[in-house]
Amino acid sequence: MKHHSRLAVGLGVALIGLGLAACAHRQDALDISSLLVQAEVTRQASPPLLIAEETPTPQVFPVTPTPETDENCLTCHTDQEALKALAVEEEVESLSSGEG
Amino acid sequence: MPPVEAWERVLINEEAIRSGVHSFIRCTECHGGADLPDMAQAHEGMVADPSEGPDNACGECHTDIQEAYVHSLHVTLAGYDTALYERSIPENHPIIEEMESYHCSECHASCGQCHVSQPSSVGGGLLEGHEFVRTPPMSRTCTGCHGSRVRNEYTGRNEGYPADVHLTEARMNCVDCHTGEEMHGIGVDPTHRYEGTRQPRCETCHLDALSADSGILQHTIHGQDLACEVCHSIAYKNCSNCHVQQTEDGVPYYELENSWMEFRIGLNLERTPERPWQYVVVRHIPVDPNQFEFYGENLLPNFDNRPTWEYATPHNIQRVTPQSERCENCHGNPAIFLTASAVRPEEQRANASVIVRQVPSLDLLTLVEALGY
Ligand code: HEC
Ligand code: HEC
Ligand code: HEC
Ligand code: HEC
Ligand code: HEC
Ligand code: HEC
Ligand code: HEC
Ligand code: HEC
Repeated sequence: MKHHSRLAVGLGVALIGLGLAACAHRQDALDISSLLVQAEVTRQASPPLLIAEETPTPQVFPVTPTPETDENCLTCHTDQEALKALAVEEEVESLSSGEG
Repeated sequence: MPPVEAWERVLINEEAIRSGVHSFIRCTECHGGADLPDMAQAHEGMVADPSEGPDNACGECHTDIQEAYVHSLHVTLAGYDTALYERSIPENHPIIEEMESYHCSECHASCGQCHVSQPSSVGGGLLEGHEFVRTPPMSRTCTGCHGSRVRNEYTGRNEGYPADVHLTEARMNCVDCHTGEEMHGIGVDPTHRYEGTRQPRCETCHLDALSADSGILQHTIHGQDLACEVCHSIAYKNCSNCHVQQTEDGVPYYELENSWMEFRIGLNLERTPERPWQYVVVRHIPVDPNQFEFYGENLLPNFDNRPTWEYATPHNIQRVTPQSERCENCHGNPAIFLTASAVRPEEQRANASVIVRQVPSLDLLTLVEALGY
């Protein structure tokens, strides 16, 4: 599935943003556990300043770990009035009889 | 479950979607569709449940769970195949599969149906505004599918029959006994519910009560001859004559002719080290030789290959039950055993291996007395 390289970036971003990871390189295969282990080690080993210096420029990896999502989707699905207007009650009348 | 309105079922809690590890994934990466302001355009090509099937949106990260989960009964529904194929012949399997594709598609539990939304069998609806809920809430997920038997027995909804002690005494939830590991199918690849390790096991929590110095004579005398439910369950739901069919417009439905409350002790068909008991509780299941008539004639020619009274573990445990209150309520009492006369004439052969030919005698009790217990 192709969304995973973007996930990789997202997660990389998160970890760097938190000042945790030494992710100067890009993670291609998404392996959460190894990322987390790496993060754990880094937290103990290196002082945060050093990491900040080694962090690549924000254009490539924005520092803020703000989760991005699809705003159009979210806007509508958090808008009660819009949903009330658009959602249609499906006819779920069951023809089955007796215990299910 | 209270009815949830259509709009409420799809209402997202913004905080939930913007926090936590899953917030780094865009809607469209899981659901497809497009991030557009127009609903019809946004929904084009959208997948309502991206957590279904072997190639779902969760597996890449939750690798261990996914690998096991695809072999779990919640995905394979192998229990139904086992039950039907054994009563059929290979030539009929394709038609049975076709029938299952109409009637069983709502029964598969995807990751999302335990962790994100209510199952589609009860109309769906997000659990906590699209949070990825760690512990599936019992009354909104599990019992949405396990309703007519498990929920009604466990919560005492069958009129005149009390709820399970684990609910009344300890407020226990399904997942207090059925762990995530079990639900994800870790370490097993079963062909039916009662294959392999028992999950859970009553003894895990009740070793004290079973030990020789518990002072409970019925435990020490019977050893491993009787399943716990033989003494600790009460009457449960039994069904018969279920027929599946479709309307003229192709809408699948079923008709269940008959259901009733009854308690019967039968023989254990498959004694294994894991399930060593000779006597177990048996439940009449809704199978019928002509159950699938709509799809073809004589689809279950080997109907007699399996009993219609099947091994069961009802969820209505009590400390004291009518049959165990006194020794003689069980010894010498054919009314609670699956004797030949409790089985319909046309089902005698199918049940030959589980019918109790001789109920335990009253003499055994005198023997015990004589031994001075
Ligand atoms: C990590 C994957 C993932 C992401 C990201 C995700 N969802 Fe979902 N969503 C699911 C799953 C799984 C379900 C449960 C489907 C089910 O059980 O039927 C679900 C259910 C839903 C439902 C209810 C569908 C129904 O018919 O009951 C809506 C609406 C929804 N998601 C919208 C969104 C929106 C909008 C976003 C982005 C803000 C989003 N989802 C992000 C996986 C995801
Ligand atoms: C980008 C990777 C990724 C994807 C894709 C993903 N998850 Fe997760 N999920 C995680 C991580 C990391 C955690 C936190 C660690 C853990 O508990 O395993 C987590 C935790 C969870 C939890 C536990 C939440 C808690 O509060 O403890 C659930 C339940 C869950 N995920 C379900 C899902 C489902 C269902 C899907 C598919 C619709 C999914 N996840 C997709 C990475 C992911
Ligand atoms: C979407 C419907 C659905 C949901 C939700 C669901 N189940 Fe099931 N479950 C089934 C079906 C169908 C089977 C039977 C599969 C078979 O026998 O082949 C099953 C089988 C089981 C089994 C026996 C097999 C096994 O894997 O151990 C247990 C125990 C169980 N479910 C417990 C639960 C619990 C606990 C929950 C909630 C956390 C739950 N189920 C949620 C449909 C569901
Ligand atoms: C006190 C422990 C306990 C609780 C609580 C519990 N179960 Fe079970 N459940 C069991 C045992 C024991 C078995 C039999 C396991 C075996 O033999 O492999 C079982 C078997 C099952 C089965 C498979 C057999 C069948 O009858 O289809 C399902 C489904 C199931 N449980 C669902 C649930 C659901 C749903 C809940 C919550 C409403 C629940 N259980 C609560 C102990 C429990
Ligand atoms: C039949 C219901 C059911 C299904 C289906 C299900 N789970 Fe779970 N899941 C559970 C239960 C029960 C727990 C344990 C909750 C607890 O201990 O609080 C759990 C726990 C989890 C956890 C947190 C603990 C852990 O083991 O890491 C994650 C993550 C998770 N599930 C992801 C998934 C994913 C991904 C899928 C699909 C591949 C899935 N689940 C399918 C019932 C289910
Ligand atoms: C996960 C642990 C667990 C499992 C598994 C479990 N129980 Fe229990 N059981 C309890 C708890 C907790 C209580 C509440 C009273 C207590 O603490 O003894 C209880 C109570 C009982 C009682 C009533 C005792 C009393 O003092 O009133 C009986 C009888 C009983 N269980 C039988 C069973 C049987 C039979 C099974 C298997 C079908 C089983 N239990 C499975 C934990 C469990
Ligand atoms: C032959 C009948 C019989 C069988 C089989 C049986 N029990 Fe019991 N059990 C009893 C009786 C009788 C009592 C005592 C009830 C009372 O307090 O009057 C009892 C009591 C208990 C209690 C409560 C103990 C206490 O301290 O109050 C638990 C828990 C229990 N049984 C669990 C089990 C489990 C688990 C199994 C299966 C391994 C099992 N029983 C099999 C008859 C049986
Ligand atoms: C709910 C049913 C039930 C209850 C209650 C029950 N029994 Fe039994 N008992 C049986 C069955 C069934 C057998 C046959 C087991 C076998 O064939 O190995 C049996 C066998 C026995 C045996 C022979 C043991 C052996 O190893 O062959 C004795 C002795 C006995 N029971 C005494 C008692 C006494 C005393 C009580 C009351 C304290 C009692 N039973 C309560 C069902 C029950």
